[in-house]
Order: sequence, then C-alpha cells, then structure tokens
Amino acid sequence: LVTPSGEARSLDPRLETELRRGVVLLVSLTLLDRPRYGYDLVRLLAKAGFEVDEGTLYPILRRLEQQGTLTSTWDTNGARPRKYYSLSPEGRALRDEMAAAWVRVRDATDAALEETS
Amino acid sequence: VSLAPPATRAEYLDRLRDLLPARESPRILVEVEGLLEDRMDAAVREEGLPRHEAERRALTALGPPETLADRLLAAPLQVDRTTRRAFVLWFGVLGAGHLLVSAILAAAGGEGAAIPGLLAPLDGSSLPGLLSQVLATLFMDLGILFAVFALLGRGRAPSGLPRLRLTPTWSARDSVQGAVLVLLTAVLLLPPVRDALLAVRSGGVRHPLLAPEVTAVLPWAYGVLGLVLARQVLCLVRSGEGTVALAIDFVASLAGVVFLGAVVTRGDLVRLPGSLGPEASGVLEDLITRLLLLILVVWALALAVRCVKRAARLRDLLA
Repeated sequence: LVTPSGEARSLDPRLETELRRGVVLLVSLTLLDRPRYGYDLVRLLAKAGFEVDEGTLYPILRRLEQQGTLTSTWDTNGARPRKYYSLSPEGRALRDEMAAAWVRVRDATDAALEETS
Repeated sequence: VSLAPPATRAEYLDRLRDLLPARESPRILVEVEGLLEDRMDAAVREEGLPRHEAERRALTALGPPETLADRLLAAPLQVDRTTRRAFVLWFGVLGAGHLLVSAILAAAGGEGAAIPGLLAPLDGSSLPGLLSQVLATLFMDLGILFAVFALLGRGRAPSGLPRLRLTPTWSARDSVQGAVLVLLTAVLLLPPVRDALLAVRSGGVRHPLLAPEVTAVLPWAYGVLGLVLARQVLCLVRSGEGTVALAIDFVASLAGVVFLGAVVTRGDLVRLPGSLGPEASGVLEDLITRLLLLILVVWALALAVRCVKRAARLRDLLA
C-alpha cells in the first residue's frame, strides 16, 4: 500500500484477515477432498496462510455436516477415537461452484486493480 | 457480567455442557474434547510444552465456552441456557424442599403458619385446598427466584447461587471441620451445658430458656448428628463421597428437617420465669420465639433443599 505522502506501508493485519476470511470456506472444502480430522485441518490451513482457531473452525465444520456438505466417520483404531470429515457429493459440487465463483471474483478484482494502477 | 475463563479442560467442558441443549451436548463435548487433546498432544510433542501450558493454549484456541456455544447454536437465545438451566434447577430444588418442610410440619401436627405468608403446614383436609396451597407455595418460590436472579444479574446468577451442583467439591478439611462442628453441637446440647448457656437468672435462680416440650425432643438431635458425623468420617476414610456417604447425607438431611419440624410445632418454644412480670415475660417470650422460629424454619428449608439435591444426585449415581 502507498500512503498519500507516497510512503509504502504494510497492510493492517486485521484487514488481511478480513480478506482471507471470505475464502477460508473454499480452502477448507478444497482441503477436505480427502478425510481429515479437525486439528489436522487447522494445521493445514495455517500452513496455507489461513490462521483459523478451533473455536471458529469447529462450528463451521459442524454446520457444514448438518447441511450435508460434509460427511464424517469416527476412526477408532488410534489411541482415542477421532472424527474425520470429508466432502459429500453435494460438498464437491459446492466446492466446484465456489471455485468457479472465486475465479470470477479474482479476475474482476485483478481487472479493477489493473485499471487503477 | 462475564465469568472468569475456565482454567482446566474439565471446567471448560463442564461450562460448555451447561450452555448446550441436553440432547446435543454429549456428542459435541466428545468432539470438542478430541480437538483439545489433538492440539495439546501436538504442543507437547512438537514444542515440548508442559501439559498444563499445552492445555491453556488449547483452551485459548477454542475461545470462551460461551462464544463457542453461541457459534454452535443456530439462533442465539435471549436468555442463555446456563441461566435458564440454573433457574429451572433452583426452582425444582427450592420448590420441592419448601413442600417437603410443609409436609413435615403437617405430619408433626403443626397448626397455623410457622412463618406467616411464607411457610405453613400442608392442609390435607380438602383436595382443592391442598392443590391451591401447593400452587401458592410454588408461585412464591418462583417470585423469590425471579428476585434473586434480578438482583444478581442474569450472567452472575448461575454462579452466584452456590452449591447448585449436585456433586459438591469435597476436601478432607471440609470433613474435619464438619466433624468438629457436629461434636461441638453435641456438647452444646448436653443438658448441663445447654442449661448453663440458655438460661436467665431471676430471683437468684437460673431458669432454662427452652420450654420443656422442646427439651423433650432435643435428644432426637443426637440421631441426626450421629448420621452427619458418620458421613464425615466415611468421606475421610474413603477420601471422597461415595454412594453410601451420599445416602447417609440424604437420610441425615431428611432427619434434620423432621427434627426441626418437630421442634417448631411444639406448643411453646421458650418459657421465661414468671418473676419477670407477666407483661415483660410475655413480650420477651414472643420476641425470642419469633426469632427462633425464623432461624429454625430457614434452617429446615436449607436442609430440605439439601435433601432434594442429595436425592437427585443419588438417583443419578444409582442410574
């Protein structure tokens, strides 16, 4: 970013978080193409640059499961039972639609930015 | 009013349970506990954190239980579930305790209100009369609870009403203190000690304050105290409260209510020497009787509430 006086400055982290929040769902759905448990997903999101805590992610996963976007299974082979989430067929369709929408948003944003630069 | 953040995983899950609908909470709690354990394990394994620090971080990542519950529930409630549940529980316990004392007063042959407008023996002479008395008692308890919740504030009321939990925390110190208190009370009830303390001097002679009808039932108190002592000793021996100690506590509370009911329904509680003058002794007797009645009835009500809570806990344990 450039200030009115022409100095470069970094973006307020809260604004960047706000920007990323919009696509967390799409990224989560993409990562859930294969079965993953809650904390595994938190770590993968963090690795991809999306810091989401469990208190935010867990209600989202639960809602998506209730809506039929995700399916879940319990793995009881480990030291303790662990719940794995993965995309249902409806979830895959939603992920594809969101990905297409994301491309449109990104292209429109790029175009707008190019026009003003 | 906000509650202090939970310090341990057990406390967190306990509070979250109180905030969730009963039918959904078991499943959610298992899942949340899994999330906590996964994060704690990772922090211990990868960062070498001590377990308690890993637990603290995991709890922070989940956020306050109230916020998590709000996010999990589709529609936030005007009155949160903790408050609602605390209100319903207290209403059940207080109402049942109140009715228990009233029934015991009736069984002990009490006539007239023990405390006007607040406590009277149940009148079983007619069914409509009995039903309206029960309803009036419950409405009164409802009003009292509304007032208490309004005074404490919605957020603080659940934590401001102590010992709501059916499983009170136990410590060896509590039991020792309880046992010492029981022994002291037993000593105070011994006739020489009692007559020395609860007496007035008139005409060079000490006259016991308690009426003979009351002193006649005082030996029953040793039965109640014996039960309380047995419970404290059992808790100490077993380092906690088991089913037997809980059952003894239930019986002791019930016996305590019966005993107090028997005391307050005696014809006279206090008798002052006639040498004080008929008017002076009449006024003093009335004053002391009213004060004693108030103390004994509130005590009986507290014991009845304890009795109901212990019964509920016993039912849970046996189930």
